[in-house]
Amino acid sequence: MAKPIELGLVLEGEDAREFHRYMENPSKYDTPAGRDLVRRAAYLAERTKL
Amino acid sequence: MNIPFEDMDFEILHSGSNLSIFKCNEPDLYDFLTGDALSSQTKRLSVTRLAMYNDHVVGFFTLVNDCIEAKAIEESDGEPGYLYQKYPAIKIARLATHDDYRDRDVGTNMLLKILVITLRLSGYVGCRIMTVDSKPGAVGFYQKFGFKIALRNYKDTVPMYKDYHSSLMGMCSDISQLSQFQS
Repeated sequence: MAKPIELGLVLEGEDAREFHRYMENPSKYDTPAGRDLVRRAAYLAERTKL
Repeated sequence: MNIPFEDMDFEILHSGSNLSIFKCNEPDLYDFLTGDALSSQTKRLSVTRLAMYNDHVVGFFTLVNDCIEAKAIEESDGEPGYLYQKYPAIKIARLATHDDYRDRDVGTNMLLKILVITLRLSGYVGCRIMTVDSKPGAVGFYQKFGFKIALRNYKDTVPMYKDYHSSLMGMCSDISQLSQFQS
């Protein structure tokens, strides 16, 4: 049997501080491949229905 | 040779799905797909999609709703304080590529499909962050796409997150363009 899926991520201390800093300017941490993936996804999402 | 996204199909796992040819060197991922995924889906605890190429299962991913909870930070150490925050998220609970189809962009194509689903979903319910529990060997793959390691101390999987919204905002010149994902 596989490991159960864990839900909810709780960040404390320095991990929480890092997350807060990240959320202040997430694009600073983005990558060319990440931006390209979002660009392609946005194009496809316009043409897709759930 | 890489497999283009357009040449792949994605179908939701069902009782008639043929998983017999699927091979994966990560026992936990293989066991989940062949033993737990359908049961979990039937209980509406997760949804698994199969990545298909030439009618073969070349990968799969499983999605669930998630939440990131960041505790408040005090100003006492001289840095700016931060309020307690929670963000709704979508979690990549499992993602695996068939051993024989590694290094052919199957993982990237699955991540693209997940992002498309997330963008569509975000037009219906709040969903700001993508999270994943990565196998240690896959951390570099997610980092390439801008995921950040969430915990300094982790066990057998590495929790990671990405705010896809900020990338999207950088592309849309005004907020009205974001409404195109809302139905």
